[in-house]
Amino acid sequence: MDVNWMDFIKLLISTGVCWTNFVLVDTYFGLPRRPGVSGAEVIGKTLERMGGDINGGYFMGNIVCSPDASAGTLMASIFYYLLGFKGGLIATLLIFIGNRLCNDPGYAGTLGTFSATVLIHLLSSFIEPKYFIGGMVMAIFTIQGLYHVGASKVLGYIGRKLGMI
Amino acid sequence: MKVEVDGGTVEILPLVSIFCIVMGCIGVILNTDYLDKIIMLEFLTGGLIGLIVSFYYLDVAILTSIMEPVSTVILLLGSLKYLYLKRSKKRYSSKLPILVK
Amino acid sequence: MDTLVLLIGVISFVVGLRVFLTRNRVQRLLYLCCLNFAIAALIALYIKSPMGGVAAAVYFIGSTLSSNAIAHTIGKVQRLEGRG
Repeated sequence: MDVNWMDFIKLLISTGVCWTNFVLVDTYFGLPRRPGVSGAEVIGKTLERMGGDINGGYFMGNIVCSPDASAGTLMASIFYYLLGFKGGLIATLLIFIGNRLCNDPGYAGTLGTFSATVLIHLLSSFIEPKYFIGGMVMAIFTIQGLYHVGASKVLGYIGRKLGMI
Repeated sequence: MKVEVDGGTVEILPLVSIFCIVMGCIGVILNTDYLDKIIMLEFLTGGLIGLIVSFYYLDVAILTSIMEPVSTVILLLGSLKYLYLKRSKKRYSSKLPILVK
Repeated sequence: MDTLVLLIGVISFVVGLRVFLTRNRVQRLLYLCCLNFAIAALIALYIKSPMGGVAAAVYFIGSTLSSNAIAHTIGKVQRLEGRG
């Protein structure tokens, strides 16, 4: 099997773009400040008891319990890969419905999907949209899959640095 | 989505789905607490939907995805009702003289 | 040789093993969220038609809804057992 090094460079660039997009949008809409749904409070307090940061724990709990900008980025890349620029708008509508279904009164998911669609459309000349799907899975793996206490500390540091807590 | 490994072709989605189903079955059997059992059942259902999709039955997969949270919510409501019933029976059983007889 | 699908498959195998081996209930829920992301991406990459995208979206929203219900119930059970 031959490994093309261009693939890995594109994958790393798309991972960075997706990570920056959803962390910035979610932090701007105040996800680390308070738990929006009641399940996120449990996750934040448990991570604080294990030695992490409580605001980063609220952030991770909000990702689990409601389709926020992380789910929006994944849906935007999937629908852009299948349908083009119109698919991003359809994904925005689906994420809006899912947000209301999970009892979350916010616009983080809707705006995150729209900004991800615009970013993929701007970058689509030299990175194909299917790399953004893999990049989003890599980005969510670095937050929810590797080491939870360290990830919550990093997210709390970013939120405190931007002055949103 | 075929990955060529030295002659034959292996597809990734059925492989991941079968792994999820087998691990979910073993986990449902081995865990003893009911919330752990429900989490493992969720893990099994994800693999089941992936296996249905990998044989191109898309309508069955969409209907299963819609019906699966409903069944989970009903199971969780039943478990909460069981917990309330157990606690309230323990609290009142020493006070009510009717049940002692 | 498709590197992208192989990478997502390896990630979902690792996360599935960690769901099975972790003892903490809340951490198990976090790993399950990552597994849902990986399976939705695999469904969309396996079926290259708009119907596959609709199936991935419906699967993802449904699994998020049931994760929400499980986390809510864990909080209620912890509050009930901590008080009495």
